[in-house]
Amino acid sequence: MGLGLGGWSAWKALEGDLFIARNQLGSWSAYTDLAAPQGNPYASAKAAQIGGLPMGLAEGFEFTATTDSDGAPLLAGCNYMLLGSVPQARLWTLDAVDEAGVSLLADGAPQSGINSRAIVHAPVEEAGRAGDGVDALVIAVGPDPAPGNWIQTQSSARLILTLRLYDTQVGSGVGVRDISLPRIVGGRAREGC
Amino acid sequence: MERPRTSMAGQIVGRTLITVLAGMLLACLVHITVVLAIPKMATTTASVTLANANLPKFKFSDVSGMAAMSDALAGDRQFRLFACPFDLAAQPIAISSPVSDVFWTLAIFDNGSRNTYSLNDRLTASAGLELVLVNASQLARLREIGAQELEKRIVVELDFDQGFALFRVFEGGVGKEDALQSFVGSMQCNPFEPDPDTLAPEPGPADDNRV
Repeated sequence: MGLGLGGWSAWKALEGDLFIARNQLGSWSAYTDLAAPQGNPYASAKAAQIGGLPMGLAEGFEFTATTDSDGAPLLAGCNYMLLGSVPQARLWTLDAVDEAGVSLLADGAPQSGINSRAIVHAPVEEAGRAGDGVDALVIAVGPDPAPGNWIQTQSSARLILTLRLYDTQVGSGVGVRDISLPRIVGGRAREGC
Repeated sequence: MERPRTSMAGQIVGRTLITVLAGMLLACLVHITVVLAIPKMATTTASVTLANANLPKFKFSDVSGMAAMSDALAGDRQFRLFACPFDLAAQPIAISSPVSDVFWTLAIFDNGSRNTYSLNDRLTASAGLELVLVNASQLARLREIGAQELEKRIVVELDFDQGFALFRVFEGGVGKEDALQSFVGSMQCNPFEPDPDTLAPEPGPADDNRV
């Protein structure tokens, strides 16, 4: 009983991000101490479980979204619009992957997601409540073509959007709770969405 | 006659209590062991993949295309990854890269995927990157012999010997392919040996021994 309970509770603690710094901001979430767990064994275990090469604070900061702004799971077969602004950073990238980290971009899509150096900025009104409006952004994500910035996805898998900010003060100088990230709203209707 | 029955009931309650407590204690121990063991047991992490890849020493190898690196482990697919494994037990390591237009970051990992030191190109925008990785005893020795080269470099003291340095180089940006190729071709990861000319002069007695 002890063996089972111990193993189960350890698994549950990691699954539920217990004792691990994780920030939720609308649809977006970010782990803040996986790169340098600094004596937190739960963060070390979580980092090993994820298995990646976490970014240090001087490199950048990563947010992931698995739901839209209403809390519904994101699906690669549906259309979405990202509206709003991205925090100050020298560079940011946006990518679409499945739960195993495999790309959900359509075959023949020109690049691996989009980035801040190759985007079209939208008029402020279109981006809606975009805070100061300086970085007003409209990005379409989904299988149906859209004008402007468009990440073309395919498959019917659960979709994870990854927003990475490079050379940013988010996470170090600027608290994760003090920033504004794009809202993810449903786009053009499709069957099954 | 009541007394033995009461003590028997007490014994049963006592035993149950001890069993439950022992079970809880065991659960706690297992919980702690599992959490602590995961980083050491994990075999699918990027750092294990890199450690098993037998990458050449003293060289940054392109690891973005490695099978296990092409999914979640690799992180941002708009970046190319270059790794140089090192073992400070043998000697300190010097890492350098030229001034460039491409955006890059550098991170130093231990073999347990712990990102222990990182920087980005802004820190070295005017002069290029000159960095040296040392452990505590090497740093003490280099200071002792007065290696002046250390003053021109970013000195990173690590509390582990084996790990890898990782450049993440941004691939995007129109017309940056040439700049990217030139940057990638110039990044270096070499054994660090202080130039004898820059060492501080030996103190007096050493001079007496010279013939």
